[in-house]
Order: sequence, then structure tokens, then C-alpha cells
Amino acid sequence: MKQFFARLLLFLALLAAGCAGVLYLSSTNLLRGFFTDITDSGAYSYASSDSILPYITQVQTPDATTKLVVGDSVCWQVFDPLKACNPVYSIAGTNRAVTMAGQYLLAAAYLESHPAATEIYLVVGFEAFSSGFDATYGYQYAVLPFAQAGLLGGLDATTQAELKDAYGSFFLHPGVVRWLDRSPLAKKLYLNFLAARLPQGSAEPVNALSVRCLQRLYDLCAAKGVALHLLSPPVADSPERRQTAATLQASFEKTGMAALFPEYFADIPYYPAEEFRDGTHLADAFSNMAHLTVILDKMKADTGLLGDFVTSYG
Amino acid sequence: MTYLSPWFLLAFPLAVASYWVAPVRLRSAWLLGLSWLYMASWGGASVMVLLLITLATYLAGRGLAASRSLPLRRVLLAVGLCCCAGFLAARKLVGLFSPGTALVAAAGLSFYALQAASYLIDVYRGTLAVEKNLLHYALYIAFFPRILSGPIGRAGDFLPQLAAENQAPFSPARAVRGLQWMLWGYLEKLVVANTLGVVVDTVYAAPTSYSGTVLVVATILFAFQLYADFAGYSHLAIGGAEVLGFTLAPNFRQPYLATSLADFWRRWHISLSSWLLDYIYIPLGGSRRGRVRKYANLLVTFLVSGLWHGTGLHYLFWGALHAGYQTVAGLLPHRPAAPTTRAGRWLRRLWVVALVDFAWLFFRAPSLRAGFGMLGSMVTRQHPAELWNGTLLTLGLSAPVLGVALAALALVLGADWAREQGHSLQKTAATLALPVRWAAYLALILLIALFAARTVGANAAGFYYAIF
Repeated sequence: MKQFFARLLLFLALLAAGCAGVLYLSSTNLLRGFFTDITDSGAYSYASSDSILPYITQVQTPDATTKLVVGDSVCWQVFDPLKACNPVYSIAGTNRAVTMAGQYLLAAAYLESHPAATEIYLVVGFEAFSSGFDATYGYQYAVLPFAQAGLLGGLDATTQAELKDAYGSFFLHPGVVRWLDRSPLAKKLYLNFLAARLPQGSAEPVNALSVRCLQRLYDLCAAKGVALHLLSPPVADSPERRQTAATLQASFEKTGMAALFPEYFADIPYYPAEEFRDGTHLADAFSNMAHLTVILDKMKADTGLLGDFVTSYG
Repeated sequence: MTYLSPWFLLAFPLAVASYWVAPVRLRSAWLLGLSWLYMASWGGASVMVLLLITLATYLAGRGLAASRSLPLRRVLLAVGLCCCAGFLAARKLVGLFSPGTALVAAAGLSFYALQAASYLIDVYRGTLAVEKNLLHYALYIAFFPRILSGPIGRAGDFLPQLAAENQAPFSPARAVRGLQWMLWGYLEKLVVANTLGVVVDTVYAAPTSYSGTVLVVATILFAFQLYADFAGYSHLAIGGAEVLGFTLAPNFRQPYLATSLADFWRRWHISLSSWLLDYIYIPLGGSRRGRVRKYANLLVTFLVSGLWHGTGLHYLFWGALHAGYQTVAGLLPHRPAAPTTRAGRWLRRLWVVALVDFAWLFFRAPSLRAGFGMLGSMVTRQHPAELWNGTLLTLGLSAPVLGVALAALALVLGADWAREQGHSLQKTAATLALPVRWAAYLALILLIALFAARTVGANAAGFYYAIF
């Protein structure tokens, strides 16, 4: 009997080693495709970090810019096409899913590498205040790229504890994150495990994470003498969206954020819903340069900000 | 929770360990608790129906044993059987009149209701002693390794294994044998059935979008998908029971190597086939009352089998088709002699598989009308070039995945052939050097794990026969 259990333990140890070996091999260039195919993990091949890491590098690299535009994917739609004619601005619109923690890390990294910085524009739709460490996009956007860049340590202790609670310390380690990002199989297993145990979205209108990060960013900018502006990108006009905005505005006031950014909800630029392809992003026909110029000129006029931002190549 | 649930993989070793650690006199009660807990994972309704059938048939059985009055015994038998049949009818027949409606959503009902019914009939006939121990009887009905999809047990085989004097201590050899069966079951289910099922589901979901050639390929693959799926479940159940020290009768015996349709039914879903034989066909008179009556009995038996699988007309047609096969074969003026050459035997096997697979077309089709529509396409819309022009690789599987699944199917069928020749894979494995044997086990487990990963995030964890 003793021999049986000793053999069983040895066999299980070998099996564990075999599983670890397979997971490792699934991240190698040589066998990644094979394991992705066999395990039907193709849907997990997209590396969210690929879309965020270049912006992290951008904000960390010292250059002649003195102003930063960070924000969500609509911010990217509106500002990114005008990058070339705005040499004073570093434009790093990314994705709502990076959460306010990600926006904070981008802004903080920019301030560290740009001592002459004067202004930071955080351009996010109001739903961004609800984005948290969920199972769907939170890990992929808020953790994978920032952990690989070694930036997660810049978050406050509460946020770091929340990250550990949501994803586990092991899966925040840069080495593990790099491996996971390269293995669609491992990502599939892990993200589905998360989906089973984490909520699919935030229940709070303005979550504590957003409040904390906005407050920290505000304090950081104030300490460095940098002006921080919170702006909204174009929003599709509909009764539902206005209702959501009203709910979030109430929560914004309750959490004290309205005192820091009093004009945010008043300045939301609503546009006809037909101009949006999915209720959030501008449709192709309305994201051409001429329309972007109209949008940005209106934003400048409404807010009195972005004074030197060039809104057309003409 | 099925055998494929990650929770089962965690819970099963704990269940096994706790069962063997428990004192012998408490083991049955512990196993019953585990079985009910397992059923609870399917919802409260499943537990309630299970408890009701268990209690009603137990009491009816006790009444049958205590009563000497024939009318009373008949009433008790009828009440007990009505209880089983009532729940089954509520589950099966309501769908016939109101598609999509489920009055009774009880997991495993189709299987354990037949166990309870066979127990009552055997007690009534006097071929089985009544089980006085409610705990043992409840465990016979609820034994978790097989409750979801069989094999449909017989009280005469199971109850004696619960007697204290028959309870053997933990046997490593037996546990290994059980785990080998489970490993084989996982291979059949996860690598073969689930993978081939991708192609079958793709084609059968939109049959009019495909040529007759693709429909034929999908129907052939379905034959093997269904076999690997259900045999896989059966091997998991048999293996799981073996690890717990119980022997369950085999449910499949190389069915696609049958040389006649009657032979096929002695090899396919043996526990149901033998149940239908013992409790439907023979009581109706079997073949003892003339040819007309014999074929009528066959028809009734196969229609019951069709109805047991589902209330769609296509299931009834499938049953009628099998009855028709046997009737036509029986009415042939000159019955073909048993083949004496190897080639002749293979031709017979292929013929049997072709007939069985033809019937599977209607079994798998979403409706009788759809089945005939597909049959029409198979005849009129043949495009043989699709066999090699890459069309088959547009059905949801890449070449490597399909290749691995077909290789695993070849392994399963090869093992069937070896068993048919009297060889035992387990005995062969035991002759291998330990490192070789372990390397083979590890390779097999890792292959299964990789294919199991395909089911993560998808609804592929169910067993085909769990829907019946």
C-alpha cells in the first residue's frame, strides 16, 4: 500500500511537471501556433498589451512635448489623427479598459520623464469611471501591459491590494505576465477561471478605484504645478446615455470628485447617435479629418482649454 | 456537474479517499450522501424526483414482498411502475404536445427510473429478493458514478456488492484498473467525441448549406462521435465505480464490429437493450407467438426505445427503422449464411455499420422532415471533390486537430478490435516496463488535457446521452 501511494505521488508530480512543460511550450514561438490550434485558443491570441505598451514607452521617453493627452478609445479616435501637427502634445489615448489606474500610471510616467510638463488632459467618457478590475478586460488592459513595463508598483497600496485580490499575486509578477501574454492557451485558461470568480463589471456608478486614482493624479499634478483637466470625448446623444450620465454625475458629486472637476459633466459634448457606429465610437463617416476638426474646435470653445492644440492640417 | 466539470476532478479524489477512510459499516451511508450531494449539483428538483422515486418504489417493493394477494400485488406493482413511468412520461411526452416544455427536469431520470422499474418487476416475479435496507436500495438507485447516464443497473448485480461480507478492502490494483477505464473514457469523450462533434454540429445546424458529400461525411462522423461519447461516459462510470470497489456491467462491446443487426443490439448500449429485451420484448411474447407477433413485438420494443430517447418523430422513425431492418431480414426467403472468410466478415460488418449509420441520420437530424431533406441531398447533391479540395477543413476543425481526433478514433477502434480478438489492453499495459507505461499514461493525460482545454469557455462539457 505504501508503495502504491508513493508511486501515486511520484506520478502526480511528473504529471504536474508535464503540465507545466506544456504551458511553457505553448508560449514559445515554435509551438505557440500548434498549441493554440489544438486547444482552440485562437480567440485569446490578441495581445492587448501590444496596443498599450507602445504608449507606455511613448510617455516614458523624454521628448520636447510639454502636454499630455491620455484617455479612452474615443479620445484616441479624436486626438490621435492630429498627432503629427501637434509637436507640443504627447497623445496617448488608449482604452477605457486600462481603468483609471492605467490612466494614472501613464500620466505619472509622463510627468516623471517630462519635468517641463505643464498640462495633462484626461479625456474619458463617463463610463470609464465604472471600469474596474473585472474578468473580461481588466486583466488584459490594466495589468498585462503595465506589469510588463514594471509600473504596477506605482499604484497606491489599496489599489495594489485590490489587484492582488482580483488576480492573485502570482499573476501580477512581470515574468508570469510576460509568459501569459505569449501563451494563448494559458491566457484562455486563466481568463476563463477569472470569469468564473470575478464580477463581469462594476456595480458602482463611480467606483472607488476611479475616485482614488483621480484624487492621486490630481494631487500629483498639484504637487508638480501641472494643470490637470478632465474632459469628455464626444458622446452619443440618447435618453439612456443622458440618464446614465445623470446617475454618474450624482455619484461623482457624492464621492467628492465634482469638487476637483466641476465642469466635466456640464461640458459633455453630445452628438447625434447616428454619428456613432456602436453607441460609443464614432462611425467611419464621422471620424474623418473635417469632422474631427469640428469636434475639437467645439471642445476648445466649450471648455476654453486646448488653446494651442492644432485641429487641422490645413 | 458531469465527469468533465473541473469540480468533479477535484471532488472525485476527495470522495474516493473519504469513502475508503470511512469505517466499513458507514461506507454505504457515506456513499449515499455523496451520491445525493452529486445529484444536488443538478438542482433541487433532481433531488426531489430521485427521493420520491426511491421511496415510492422501495415501499412498493416491500409491499410486494409482504403481500400474498395477487390483485394487491398487481396494484402495488402498477403503483410503483406508474411512479417511475409517470415522471418519465412527464419528462418525455409533454414535449410531444408542447415542444420545448419540460415538466420534470430531473437529471438521470431516464436511467434510474428504469433501474427502479426493473427492481419492482423482478421482485414481483420472485426472481429477486426484496431489499429491506432502505439505505442500500437508495444507493442502488442513486449510485453517483452511473446515475447521470447509466449503465442502467440491475439490483441483482449491485445490491449483493453492498453486503458487508462482500465489501473488500481498498485494492490498489482495482483502483488502477478503474483509473485506466476513466482515462480511456476521457480519451473517447474529449479527444474523439467532442472534436468530431464540432464537424457534426456545424453541418447538422445548417444542413441545406452543405452538399450531399459533406452530409454523408458528417453522418459517418456522427456514428463515431455518438459511440465515443456514450462509450466514453460508460467507461468513466465503470472506472469510477471500480475505484470505489464496485463492478458495473459493460455497456458496449465493440458494437461496430457486429456482423448482424441483432448482434449490434447485443453490443450497443447493452444495459438498455437488455432492459428492453427483459421487460418489454419478452413479456410481450418475444418470438414465441408466431412470426407476425414477433415482428409486432419488435416494432413495439424499438418504438419504446425511440420514445425513451426522445419524443420527436425522428426518434420514433429511428426505432421503426431498426424494427424494419430486423423484420425484413427475418422475412427474407433465403437468409444469408454466416460469412466464413475474413473478407466476408468485414463486408458484413461494413453493411451493418452502413445500416446503423443510415438510421443514425434520423436520430441526429433535428426533425423527421429535416432527416428526409438531408437524405435527399445525399442522393442528389453529391460533390465528391469536396472530399479532397479542403471543404472538410472549413467545418470548424483544422487539419492537425482533425488528424489527432481521427488518430485517437483509430486507437479506440483498434482497441475494440484487440478486445474482439480476446486481448486486453489493461493486461498488455501491465506487461510494459514501468517507465514506458507511465510515459504512455502521461502522454495520454496531457493529450486529453489539451483537448479538455478546447471546452474551456464553451458549452462542450455535456454528454450526448445526458439529454435523454
